[in-house]
Amino acid sequence: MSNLRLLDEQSISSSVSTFSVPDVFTSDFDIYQITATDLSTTGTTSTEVWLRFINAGGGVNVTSSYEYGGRYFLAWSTTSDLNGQNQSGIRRCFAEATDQSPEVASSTIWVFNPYSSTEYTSLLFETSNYYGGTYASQMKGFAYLKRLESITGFHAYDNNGSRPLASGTFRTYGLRVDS
Amino acid sequence: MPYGYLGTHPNQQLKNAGIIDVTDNAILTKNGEAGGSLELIAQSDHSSNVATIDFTSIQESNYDVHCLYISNLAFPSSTNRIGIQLYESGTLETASVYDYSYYIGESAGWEGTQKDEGENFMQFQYQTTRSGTLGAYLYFHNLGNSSKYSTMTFQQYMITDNEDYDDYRIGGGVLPQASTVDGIRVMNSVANSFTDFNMKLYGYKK
Repeated sequence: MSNLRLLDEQSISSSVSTFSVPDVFTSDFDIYQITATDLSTTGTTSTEVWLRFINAGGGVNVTSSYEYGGRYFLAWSTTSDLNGQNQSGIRRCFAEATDQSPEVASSTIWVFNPYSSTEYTSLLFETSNYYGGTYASQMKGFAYLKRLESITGFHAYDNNGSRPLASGTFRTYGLRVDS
Repeated sequence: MPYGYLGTHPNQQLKNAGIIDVTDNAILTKNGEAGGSLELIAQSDHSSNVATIDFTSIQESNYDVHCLYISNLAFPSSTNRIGIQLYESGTLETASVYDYSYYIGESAGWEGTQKDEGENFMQFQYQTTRSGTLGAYLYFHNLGNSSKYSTMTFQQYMITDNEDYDDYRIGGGVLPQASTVDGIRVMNSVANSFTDFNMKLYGYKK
């Protein structure tokens, strides 16, 4: 039996620009894995999908407290770095870009110490994407939320609010650590 | 739902510290929710030298996310490009339809990129003259979804047999075809035989 446990599953069922998954991080686990599968948009203009965290009070953290760095790999061009300090979200965490079905983005994310209010929440992410009719890309990166607060969930959003997401399934797993 | 499993929202209403007792286990088993969520689908270990390793029973309808762990994949010199091909409804896709890209970092200090569009596999290693051994994990999404493209990400490390070169590679690829993928092949571009390997394919419970 593996030590990874499915905790929650949420799917986008209608066109939305934001999608929240609350109440998945607790004191039960320190390490979580999120899989985001099948992310596609409503329209034909590709969009980035970012991540924010939800705090214990249920609010989405929009403060300029996120730091991230990573690199994306483009099948048609050279790789590029992506980084940001004091940002209001984690850029391209769920998708470097995604587009209308059958084009799609998928990601796998590890989250560390979200529930602890004495440690920063951090994550590692990797994505694979196809958009714009011809563009395949992958991305790998890390991020921190520089706030000592208890995080209980996460929030996905398209980066400009006008290219909604039509589909996507988010699953959250906890990693049991035997002591 | 006191165990943090799928069910009434919000989840994890009771603390369990990731531990379940006998009663918990009995209830979870009855509900079909017991056990780990990373489920072993298939395993392939070296018994003779082969040029391809196939996983053709991947339970694509049961899982949206697969993870292939590769350990100890030993390749002879001049193996060239090592990569992944996918089966669509039982037929191996060998046409020039795959896209891939990845970053390379070497312990000697060099870094770079390898990429291609319209290739007949998704490459994750390339050695023109050296023999060596690699390990990797590869995530696959949407394999069983006939209405969406299939995607892959990976991380890989490799060292040559004479220990004069080692690298890591991170990236992925896409099969940009809406199809039901029901198999995974590990292969190389010149059909050299792999001389050792241990591979395990897992599915993420949904």
